[in-house]
Order: sequence, then C-alpha cells, then structure tokens
Amino acid sequence: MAKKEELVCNSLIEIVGKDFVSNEREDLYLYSRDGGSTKPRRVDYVVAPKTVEEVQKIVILANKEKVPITPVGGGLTLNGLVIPIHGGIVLDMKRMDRIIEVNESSRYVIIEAGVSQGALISYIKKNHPGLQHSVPEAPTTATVVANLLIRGHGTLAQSGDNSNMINGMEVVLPTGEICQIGSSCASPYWFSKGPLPDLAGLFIGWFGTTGIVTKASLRLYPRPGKRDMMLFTMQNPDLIPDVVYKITQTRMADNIGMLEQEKPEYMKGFQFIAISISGDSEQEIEYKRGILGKIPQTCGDNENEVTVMEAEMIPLGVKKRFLDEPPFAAVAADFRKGGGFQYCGIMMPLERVPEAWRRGMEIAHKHEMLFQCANQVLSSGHEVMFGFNYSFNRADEEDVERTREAMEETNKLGLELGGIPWKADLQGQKQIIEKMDPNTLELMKKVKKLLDPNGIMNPGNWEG
Amino acid sequence: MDIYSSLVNIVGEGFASNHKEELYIYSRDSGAQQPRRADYVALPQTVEEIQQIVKLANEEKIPITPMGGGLTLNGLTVPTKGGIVLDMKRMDRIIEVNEKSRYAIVEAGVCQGALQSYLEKNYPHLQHSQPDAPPTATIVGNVLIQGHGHLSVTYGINSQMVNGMEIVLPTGEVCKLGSCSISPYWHARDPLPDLIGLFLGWFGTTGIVTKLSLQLFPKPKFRDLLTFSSDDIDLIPDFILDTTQLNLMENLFIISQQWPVWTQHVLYVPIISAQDQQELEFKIELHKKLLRKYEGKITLVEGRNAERMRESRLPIPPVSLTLFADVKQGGGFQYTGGILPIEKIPEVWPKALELYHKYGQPYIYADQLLTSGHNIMFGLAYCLNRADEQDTEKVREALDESNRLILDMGGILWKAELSAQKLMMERMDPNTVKLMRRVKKALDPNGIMNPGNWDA
Repeated sequence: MAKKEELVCNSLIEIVGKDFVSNEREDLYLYSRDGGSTKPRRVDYVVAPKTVEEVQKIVILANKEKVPITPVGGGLTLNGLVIPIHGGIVLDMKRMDRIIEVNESSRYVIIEAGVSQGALISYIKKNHPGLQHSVPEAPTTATVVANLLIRGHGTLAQSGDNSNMINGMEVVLPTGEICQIGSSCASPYWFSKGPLPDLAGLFIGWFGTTGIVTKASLRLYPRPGKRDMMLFTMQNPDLIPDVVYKITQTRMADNIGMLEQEKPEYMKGFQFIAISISGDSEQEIEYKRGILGKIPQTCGDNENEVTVMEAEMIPLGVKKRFLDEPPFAAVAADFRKGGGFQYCGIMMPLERVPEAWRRGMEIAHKHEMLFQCANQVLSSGHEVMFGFNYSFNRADEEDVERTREAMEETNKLGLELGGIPWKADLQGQKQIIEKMDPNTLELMKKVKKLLDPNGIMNPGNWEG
Repeated sequence: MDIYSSLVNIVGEGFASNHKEELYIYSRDSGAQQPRRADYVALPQTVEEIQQIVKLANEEKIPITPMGGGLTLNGLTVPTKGGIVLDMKRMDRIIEVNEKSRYAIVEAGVCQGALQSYLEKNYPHLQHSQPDAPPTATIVGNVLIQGHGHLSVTYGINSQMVNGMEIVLPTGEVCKLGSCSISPYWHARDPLPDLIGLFLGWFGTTGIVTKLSLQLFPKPKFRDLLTFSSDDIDLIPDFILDTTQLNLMENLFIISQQWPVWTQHVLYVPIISAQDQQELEFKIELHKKLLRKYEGKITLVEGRNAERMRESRLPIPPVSLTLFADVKQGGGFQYTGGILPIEKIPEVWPKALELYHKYGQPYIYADQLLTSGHNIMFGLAYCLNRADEQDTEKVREALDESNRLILDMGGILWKAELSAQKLMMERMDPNTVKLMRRVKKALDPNGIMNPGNWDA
C-alpha cells in the first residue's frame, strides 16, 4: 500500500472503526458502478459513518489529504452520480438511519441521511397512519434524503418536486462546519424552511458538490382514506397536452402519469394517461371520477378519440404502478432480462410532449430498442418529467454502448425541445452547461469555490 | 461627474432625484420604524440601466436599496446607510403568459393589481397567488420576502412558485436562473443546482431581480366561504388537522377581533372554490360535516354575520385588513408576522392577548394557514398614529416584545425589520450566520446591496 493510501485508510479506521472502512477490491467493486450504463470508475476507499461528528472528521481529513469525497445514499440514480470521477472516498450514509422525530400537528419528520424510503414508509404506516410522505417511483432502498437532493418527485407532486417539501437540514460543509439550515437554525422546531435567507438551495441539485446533508426535515401530508385510479387511452400523442391541461384544471387529480410501451403487445400504439385520485369516502372518489370522466369527450376533433378505460379492465401492472407505495415499476425496467436499466428524464413544458413522443420513438428504434416512456406531470401541470426508458443487457457491452448513445442523443433532444435533463449523468451535465447562460455558469462555479475551496466534494460534477 | 448627474445620465432626466421632497417618501414607510436617510432615488427602465447603476455604486462604494411597492411595513426598503433607492416600478411589463404550462414572466415593477387585471382580461381561467396586500405591492417584492397568498394552502408559499429569474448580480453581471438559463421556456426551477435560493429571503442583499417567472394556477369559477365559531383555543390545532386532512379548501383564516363585537370568538374561515355550483356545494357539505366531531364546541355561523364575513374575506385581496389597519385614524400599521408550528397556537394565543392589553391596543388575530397544515402565519398587529411619536415608540416596544414572544415559542419572524433580524441572528446557529455572511461576501464584495440587513 502506498504511503498516502495507508495514512488515509488508518485515519478513516480511527474515525469510524475498522468494520466500517474498506479499501478491498471486492467492496470497492460495488461502489464503482450502478444499474445504469455508466462505465465503472475507480473508488479508493469506502467508509460508512454513524454520526455527524464522524462525517465532520472525514471531511477534515479529506481536506488535509486532498482526497475527493462522494456521498452515497441508496446509490440508485442510475446515472452514475455517486460513482466517484476522480477516485477517493465513497461516503456511504446508510448507517445513519435514524428516524429522529415525527411532529404530527405540524406534519414533518426529521430523519438522518441514510433512512430509506421503505423504512420511512413502514415507520409512518405503523406509527402515524394518518400521514404520508411523497414517495418516488424507486426501489425501497433509495434514501429519502438523496431523493430530495437530486430533486426527485413522488406520489404527491401537486406542489412540485420533493425538494420543495424540505423544511430544514443539517449539513456538514465541505470545510467541515456543521450548519443548521431552515427554522432549526434558530428554533427547536424543524417546521419551516423560511422565512429566512434561503440557504437550502445551496445543497439542492448540486449532486453533493457543496456539502453533505446529514439530517433533513421532510413535510408529511394527510393520508386520504381511499385511493383509486383512472386510465384514459388514445392513439394520438398530439392530444396529450389538451387532456392533461384539462385534468389539471379540475384540481381533482393527485397524480398524473403517462405511458406508452411497445411491449406487452396490447399496449403498443396506445398512449395511456393514468390519474390517481383520493378521498376520505367512496362518495368523494365517485364525485371526482365523475368530473374527470367527462374530460375525454371534450378532447379531439372526433368522438371517442380519447376514452376512459373501464375500471375492471385496467391491467394489474398499471394499477400497481400508480397505486402501490412505492409505485411498482421494476417489471417494466427489466424487459431485456439483462438487469440493466437507465432512463433519460427530461423536465419539459407540457406543450413539447407530443414532439418528444415522436422523436423519442425514432431514437429508440434507431438504436434497435423498444420505445418505452413513463412520464409524470409535476406541480399541477407546470412541467412534465418525460422519461425515455432504456433497458439493456449489462453483460452485453454492445447493448450497453447502444444505451449510452441513446442516452446522449435523448439528452440532446430534450435540450433542443427546451427541456432540462433531470439528475443528468456526466455527458448530460456537459450538454446542459454548454447551453447555459455563461454568467449563470460563472455563478455556479463561484458558489462551488466558495463552499469547497479544495474541490474535494464529488469533483467532476457540474464542472464547466 | 457627481453621482446625481451620473444617475441622470443613466436613467434620463425626470427619473433620478436627490430632492428632499422626493427623498422624503423613500425614507419611511407606513410602519413604526424610524425614518432613515435616502440620498438618491433612481427609476430605471431597463436591465442595462440597472447594470450601469450597479457599476456606478461599486465604483463610488455607495449603497443600493432595491424597492418594489415599498409595502413591507417593516422598513426593509428604507436604506439603512443612505445611498440610492432603486425604485423598480417603471419596469412594469408583463412579458409573456404561457397558458399551457401556466406561468407568467413579469418584470420586477409589475404590481399585484396589474397582473390580476391582465389575467382577468386575457386568461380568465388562470390566476396567481395573491397576498393580503394592497394591489400596488409588486409581485417580485412579495416573492422575494417569501410572502404567501390566497393559494398557499394548496400550493405552498409564493416563493415556491418561482420558475425562474433574471438577476443583476451585485458585481454587475446579468444572470438567468432556472430553466431559462438554458431554454427558451421559463417553466421550471428544477432540476438544476438551485441558485434561486440565493435571492429568496435575502432582502436585496445578494442582487437585483429584474424578471421573474411565476406559476399560475387554475381559477375556479365559484368561490364561497364558511364561518365556524368557537371559544376554545385549545381546539385550534385539532381543527386545522381535520380541515387539512379533508384537503378540499383553498385557504384558511383563523380570525378573532375585538371589533366588531361579533368577531370576539375564534372564527375559522375556510375558503372553498369549485368549477361549478354542484362541486361547491359538495365541498361545503363535507366541511360542515367536520363539526359533528366537535359536538357544539365549534358551530356554524349563519345569517348576517356569515354574510359580513363573505364581504370582507372573499374578495382577492381581502378588504378587511385595510379597514382594521386604520382603526386609530393615524395611518400607521405594523405587525409581527410569526411563522409558527401549529401546535404552538394555544400557547401563544393568551400571551398575545396580554401584549395587546399591555400596550392598550385592540386585539386582532388574523392568522393564515400556510401550505397544507405545516405552519401558520400568526400575526400580532398594531396600529398607530404616525403623527404621534410617543404612540409610535410604544408600538415599536410592542413589536419588539411580540418578536421575542414568537421566537420564544420556536417561531421565525417573517420579513423581519432590522431589530427583529438582530434578534433572530442572536439565536441562530453561529455556523449558519457565518455561511450567510460568506454567501453575501462572495456575491457582494463591496457590501453595496441594502447593507445593514442580515448583518451580524
């Protein structure tokens, strides 16, 4: 072992204990790749801290030794965001898994960074059955905090992505200070992000380049007594903006998804709009169903261009996808039976959806893939997450390479349509930065430099 | 060239002033804060003019205080160290409305009333979240002080409705933030590294917002309200939980006032809106059913008083606060806006009453729920005779004590005046204060932007 490597390793052991540090190849292997098509990258150490003080000590060490740190939650971005670019330490947050407090009357939960979606779902179900949090369409091992930090969205998308639901945070700055952000900086209650100078933004969407979030307060919402869904179908993507606009105008939908897939065969050629609705009584659900059910007949030039699928005809898979908690999407992710899955999520205006639909299909076919998209309407219709999905065989390098090409092309398409790639992988970030207002880029760099003078935090991300 | 001439050169004759009679207006607001000196006022019309003014201010090391409607009541746009007041009102273009993606791009001088009437005329099925403020309050000013509006229960506070901004940095660069930094569409704040936070809640100390994309929302054709009455403050948190659980209201006020006499109870006023009459009735019925659980402890107000509540609280913005604000006929009004956890209401309520009594003020509780039951704006409002310095001083004392009360309850002060900022910063995590200072220093190395605010 080289001298520096030995020093870092020993220092890490001193901080967290020997069971929670590794530089063994077999451990590092796992951290050097994810389920997407990103090429594996080198990891030098992995460390799993338990306390904020340990995180702080690791940060101080990394500054001293100029070793990069990449914080990891569930490691499920699929876009390689938590695979180090310049080696160094992977900081696996999973041991910091305490659910610290639930405040029922002001509806929030304080959690540590390693708490998974599954852990929070079951904790709340058991102890606070009247409440819920916004759950992303992701495996249950995805962490709550990382989902917030990549600006993920979830089952409660009316007021925007999940990062809007942050009431406060505890952050270890890249220079080692521990900071409270939000009301908790001046109050024992973690009940609100403001009204204060907004510092939370400094850590949202930055992919770990500005600090390590160790705790977060997340808003909880009333859990309705009953949930159900409706499914609209059509064979013309041009109709989608009008249909979705009219649905959002009623304010009756909890969540709106859209999908099209060329497999199974019965779905091919159809666009589906799935609407989840909720209420405390059957009467309320029926009422909402009645109002929403009138929309299809007002859309399109001819009758029955958009139809409402009979409730009993809705395929179970689609139901599970929209009503399960978390939404069950794993089946769709493994079409090719090769374990590889990645998607290009573009946040676009509703009016660009039809064109994205057509051109997305062209890209998929060009790369000999099936067209499959899963979109979600965010923030009551202010934007749409258009997900271009690609499944592939991880063992087949040619297949993987095709996925990379398709991803790159799709990011380009998304930007051309005026959309923004979500949790963009490195090439996606590069494409974003190329199009970005140069002064905005300068401001980004200034902020990064200010917070992380030694450039130790997940370096290589958001770099112009 | 002297500063005044330079300003005239930039914005043109008639749009810059150093005359005492004009500066007078900019040196005070309607609250209880003492007047402070303004040296110049400039009214730019373009982003380029602002850039030049910022450049000038950096060269001359002279402060700039950007100002919208100047209606914070807490003196936030009255300069603390003299210098230039940058009055944004001439930048009043509504640049674009995107109907399908529901947003409006406005310049910083566009006021609430202008956007409201523009939408009513051109997009009658859309609306923005409007604060309880005079129509001359600007959209951008309200967003930047993290104000809330009549749609905040449904969609969050107004600063959450920002899709993007154009900003002049304190060092003079013009930047776009949000999707518009990359795209012709101003449709999203995410999914980029969030830079918008750098300008929300900073009271103009980090830059000058020149354009903003604000989310618009469906505007239901029918609106009504219900008035529930109770005399038990301990029930407030439970009742808020129940109404938010129902999840069918647009807004919720909790009101109790010494005058008129019929409002001397805890009045819950949920605002209900709907696309048609049937939906409205359906929602109203479900709200009335909530009372069953409270067996006479909370009752429905009907008849004349219900009608009065409609008259005062249904209009957007409501007219009631303006009426109250001038009970003393002295034109002065200021309030402590405490943002509180909901469970603290029963505890803070009687303490607020003690303060009202102590300072000889009529009591008024006009609290507004924010987001779907995550916190509440609990106001302690004081009116004053501006011509009477003794009266004004007394109100300042009352405000100080109110601010301390809110902080002791674990609350945060909204659009805090200088002394309230100080109180908060004394209690703040020192590392957070340091981080704030670092951010300010990085963006505004010469300390020219509304200095004195958020200063430790």
